[in-house]
Amino acid sequence: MRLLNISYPSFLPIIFLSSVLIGFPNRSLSISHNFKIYKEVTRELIKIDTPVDNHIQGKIEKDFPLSWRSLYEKNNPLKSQLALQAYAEANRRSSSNQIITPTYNALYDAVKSTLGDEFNHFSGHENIGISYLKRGDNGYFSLGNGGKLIFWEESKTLFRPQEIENRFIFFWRGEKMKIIPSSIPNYQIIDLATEGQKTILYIGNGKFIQIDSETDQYIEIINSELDFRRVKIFPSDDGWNIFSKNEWFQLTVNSPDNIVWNKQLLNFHVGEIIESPAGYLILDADRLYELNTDTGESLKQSIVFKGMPNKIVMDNLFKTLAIGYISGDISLFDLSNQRESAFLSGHNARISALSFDNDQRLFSASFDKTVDIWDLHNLDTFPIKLYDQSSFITHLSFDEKAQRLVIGEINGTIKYYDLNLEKLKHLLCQSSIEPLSREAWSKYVGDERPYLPYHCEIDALPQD
Amino acid sequence: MKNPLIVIFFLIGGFIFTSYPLLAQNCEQKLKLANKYYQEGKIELIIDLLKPCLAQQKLDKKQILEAFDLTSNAFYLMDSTNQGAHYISSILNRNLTYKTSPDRPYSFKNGLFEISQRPQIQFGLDIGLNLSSVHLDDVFNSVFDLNTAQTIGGIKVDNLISEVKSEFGMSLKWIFIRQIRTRLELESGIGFQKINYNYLDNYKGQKIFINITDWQVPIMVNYRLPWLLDGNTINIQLGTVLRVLNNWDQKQASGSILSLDNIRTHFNYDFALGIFLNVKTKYFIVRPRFTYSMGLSSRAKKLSWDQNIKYIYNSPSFVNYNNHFNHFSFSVALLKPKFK
Repeated sequence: MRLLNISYPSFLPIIFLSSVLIGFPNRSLSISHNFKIYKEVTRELIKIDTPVDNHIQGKIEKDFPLSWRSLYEKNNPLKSQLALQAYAEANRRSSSNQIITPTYNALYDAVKSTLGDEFNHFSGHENIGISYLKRGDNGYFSLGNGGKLIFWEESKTLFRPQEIENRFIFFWRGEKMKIIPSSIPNYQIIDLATEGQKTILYIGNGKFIQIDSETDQYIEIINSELDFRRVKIFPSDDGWNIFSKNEWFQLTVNSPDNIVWNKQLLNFHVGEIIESPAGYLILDADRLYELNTDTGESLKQSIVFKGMPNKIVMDNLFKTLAIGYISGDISLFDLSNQRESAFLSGHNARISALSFDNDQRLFSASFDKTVDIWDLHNLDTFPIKLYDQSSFITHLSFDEKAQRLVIGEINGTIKYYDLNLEKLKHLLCQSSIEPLSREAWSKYVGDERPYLPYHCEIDALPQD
Repeated sequence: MKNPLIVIFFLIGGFIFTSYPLLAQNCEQKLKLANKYYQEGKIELIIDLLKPCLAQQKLDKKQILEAFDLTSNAFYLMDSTNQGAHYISSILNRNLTYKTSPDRPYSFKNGLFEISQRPQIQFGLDIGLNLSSVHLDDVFNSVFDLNTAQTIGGIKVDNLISEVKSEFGMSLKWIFIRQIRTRLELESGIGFQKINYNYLDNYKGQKIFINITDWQVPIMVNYRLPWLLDGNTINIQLGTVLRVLNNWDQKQASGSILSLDNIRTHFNYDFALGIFLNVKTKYFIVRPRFTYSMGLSSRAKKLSWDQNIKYIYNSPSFVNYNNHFNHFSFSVALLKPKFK
């Protein structure tokens, strides 16, 4: 237990969280299929400074000794050597190349220790936070709460920021962005939406700018009835659907002189909103409605929640609906019969972002500063847990092709996780990490096993 | 102590006396716990935990601010912006220069910044120095022919005063400011202004010194400019200042028009333009202000045709002819803001 005496408090929560993933016998199964009864959030006083459960620590230490030692090791390159050895051990054990959380976290932490704390950061919105995060053709777009828009151009393993000032109009031509000077005085973008060649910016006080990338023209649109700080914009067949409070505006811009607004009052408040086959699914407190955009009618859904819902997301096939609760739990609903198909417990605080990777995985982010990656085809396994966040997570964007998850935090930090272990290993190996020495092998692996340390071979990076 | 009422009285008193520190201690623990909940992201638990402590004020000043901060943040994080803003107001009502932790969400930090710029009401005292100057208008000079027109309203031209000079005066006003839009405020109040003049009385042929006191009621619209000066707001204001002579028997001059008593008025008004800075201190706003106002005067007495009005300025009822007044004033106000 010598390692436990090392004073490195920042890793205590890591170990604690990591332990959740691998599971331990006295923890109740965290995934149930229509069995688990929702528990109200406990409101009684809890003990402060709860020590990390020794049992959990022991479990990780026993099952993932190299990852455990790597995570706790402060001395690099020993930390990296242990992480690489743990990676090799995991590969030896599992042929499926499945990510195991302690191994992933050990590798990630070793890379971070080797390349620097901000090796995977997009630095540009610090202390501001972001309101928009989108994957483009060759990078990412992020919109800061202060109105600063940045395009992060991908270049090998780096992302170069291109800040777009407010005196420029920008738009997407396909997935690529074009920027033209603007005659509009400086404005602050609050929200935006794109569809094909058209982009619409909301700049507050009921003012919009619609940009057409085919003609390089933009149109200013004002609706004094929509004088709200926050609106939600979605593309529609002939324009845009804009929601605010309990109002639904349909905007059609035929020409600068022919702008048509239609307004419809809804009998509920628009909280979370996502697109659905018929129109939109809208969450109002603990009620879910479907708005049919063809008929304009709203129908209350019969889905029964197991707590106070906070986030909703639907898979691309419109088959599964995921509901994130403020308790940190998640319900998956089969939309064919509106019944709950799974109940996932992995977070300790409210769900703040959800995203599907087709119908393969579900990414869930929480105010507990972690991201869980759930395998939808094997929900009995514990999720992969990403812990390297310093503040509440607000945004998730997954790039399936690159196997890269981009995370936006409330403090403005944006960072990416390469979910491909090979990429992480490659980053470490590029730093000329020597194999584990015989002495270290003897100390950390044991003399009962033959000395076969992992040797880095710098192959070409896995192709996206 | 034989009387049971006295015993009960002492018991109740003792209970109150001992329960207060216990409650306070309990609130301190709750605040500590709320901080822990915040770090863990369990923001829903913070509000119910701290509300009773905030209602009963069982914390010291610093702790109350911390509790308001946490509660407001919890509301902002739950997208309840209005409730979050309400608690920000509570913070600012206690400390205008409150600095929150840099790791708080932008929505809260921005709310704190925005709300601190626009108190709903402000009231306080404005003390200023005033320098006035009098200009004879072109109307007078061009229309009035000293060789042919001998009188104005029956009064000899020679009797008019000239070489008017003013000295520093002072003003004191109670002012009240109400926010009407995000950047707009309406300002009013009441106060007095004292100005010393000296001029040549042509009739008497001598220099006269006079001290004039006006009661003033400013009616101004303030606009907060979008720029900041070291975190403090820069504002401009436009409006009018109504003036009424303090002493209606004053024979020589009124605030913004100088003439003889037959054509003088007791009521005047200025068009005023000002620029000021709102400098925040912990409890008050200090407002240095520079104002230029142009004095105008409604005629108290209508001049008839017979009275050779044609030589002056032919207006049906009001005539401004021999002045305008320029007031330059610098004042400093100490304002107590209230946020809601």
